[in-house]
Amino acid sequence: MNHWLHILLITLLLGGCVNSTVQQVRERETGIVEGQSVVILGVSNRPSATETEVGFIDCVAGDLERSSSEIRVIPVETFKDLTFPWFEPRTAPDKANQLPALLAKPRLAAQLDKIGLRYLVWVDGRTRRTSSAGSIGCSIAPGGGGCFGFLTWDEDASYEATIWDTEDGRTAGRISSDAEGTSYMPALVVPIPIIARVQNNACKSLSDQLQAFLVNK
Amino acid sequence: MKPKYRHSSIAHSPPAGRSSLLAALLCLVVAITAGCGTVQVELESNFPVPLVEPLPATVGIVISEDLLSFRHDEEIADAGSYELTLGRAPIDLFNSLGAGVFGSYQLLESVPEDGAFDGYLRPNIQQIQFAVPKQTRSEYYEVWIRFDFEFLDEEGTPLSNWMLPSYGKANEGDYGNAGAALQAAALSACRDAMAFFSLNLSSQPNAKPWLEQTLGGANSAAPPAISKEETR
Repeated sequence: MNHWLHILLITLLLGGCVNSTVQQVRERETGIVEGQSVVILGVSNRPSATETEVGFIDCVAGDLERSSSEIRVIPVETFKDLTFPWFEPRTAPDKANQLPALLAKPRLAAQLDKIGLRYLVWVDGRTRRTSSAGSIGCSIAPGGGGCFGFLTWDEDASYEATIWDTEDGRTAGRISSDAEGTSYMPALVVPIPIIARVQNNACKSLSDQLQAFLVNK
Repeated sequence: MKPKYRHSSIAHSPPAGRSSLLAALLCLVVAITAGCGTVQVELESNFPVPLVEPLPATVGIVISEDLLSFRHDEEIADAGSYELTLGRAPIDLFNSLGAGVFGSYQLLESVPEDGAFDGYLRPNIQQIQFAVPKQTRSEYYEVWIRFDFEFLDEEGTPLSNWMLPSYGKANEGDYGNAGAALQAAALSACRDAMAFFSLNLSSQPNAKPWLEQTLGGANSAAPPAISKEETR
């Protein structure tokens, strides 16, 4: 028992602090029934210089799938292959008002119907390191080695999910998830990382909110 | 018979601390020298079949030896040397493209003499360029591929060409090493070319004479042109 208590305390101590905020704007009623599915896509339209991290998209999709038995999430790569070439960076729609024209393509419409796609969720944003300070020096000698110093850095994760409803070809709502936190790494012979899981926090907040938004119960 | 190698006593083996230090140094040397080698990338992928209305034509897609053996070598200052080969990618790519875009197709090594096809498409790669994060001070490996699609009539006479530039990028943070990221960027560029080709072939001015011939002059049988506004 004491062993587990120690592990819990060390885990809590080694985790940096994270502040997160989630905001939601609902434009119309939502709901999902058995047989319908959702896909989470990262915004990568040209000529954007950046794109949402693949790891973040996978994290949101995985969390959403696990959080509710009612929501079936199609993996993004599978979806892009099944609907190729309509959701590639150069061809994907970037506004909801382009969705009706796209859904009018017979072959694409039949494919979307086959996979039961109800909601397209576009996730835009990134996690950035906003500042860092300190330094750590390490040395190795024949008698041993070690590190000494202190590092700290701040990260900011800012993401926005836009939900398109394929039933009426319009935007159903938007959810934004922001998180910021500071990580530390003191080193006295051995570096001890105290990491603020900023991106993970933003992912969890976004997927929880998305689940509530889509199920709408 | 005595074993050839044997520790005479435990006292002769190095102390545990020193052996782990040696192991750590060895790992460091291996890690540093690994970064100095050539990054070899061979494209391998199953490309999806485009979900478009196929053109009512029987087309021979000529995959030349030049395309199959295409190789791009580049040495980038402070970022090592790179070697990119296509492997089976051209065969997979044009098999999928042919299956989606044309009513009937066949991959060929050269233009046959029997004239069994309405027309021929001979793809080639004119140029490949790439950039690594160190060069652009970004997080992305980027690949540009300039495809050259040559349109030939039913007798194998060249009619026109379509130079199609494509682009792909991959975030280095999403992949374990430079080779994997560069391969992802190159595959993304191939998909980009496939996507653009399949959606814009019927509206491409350079392909018009060929389309008119392969479709028996009935260009109206081709699917309607897909405008940029419609696809974006």
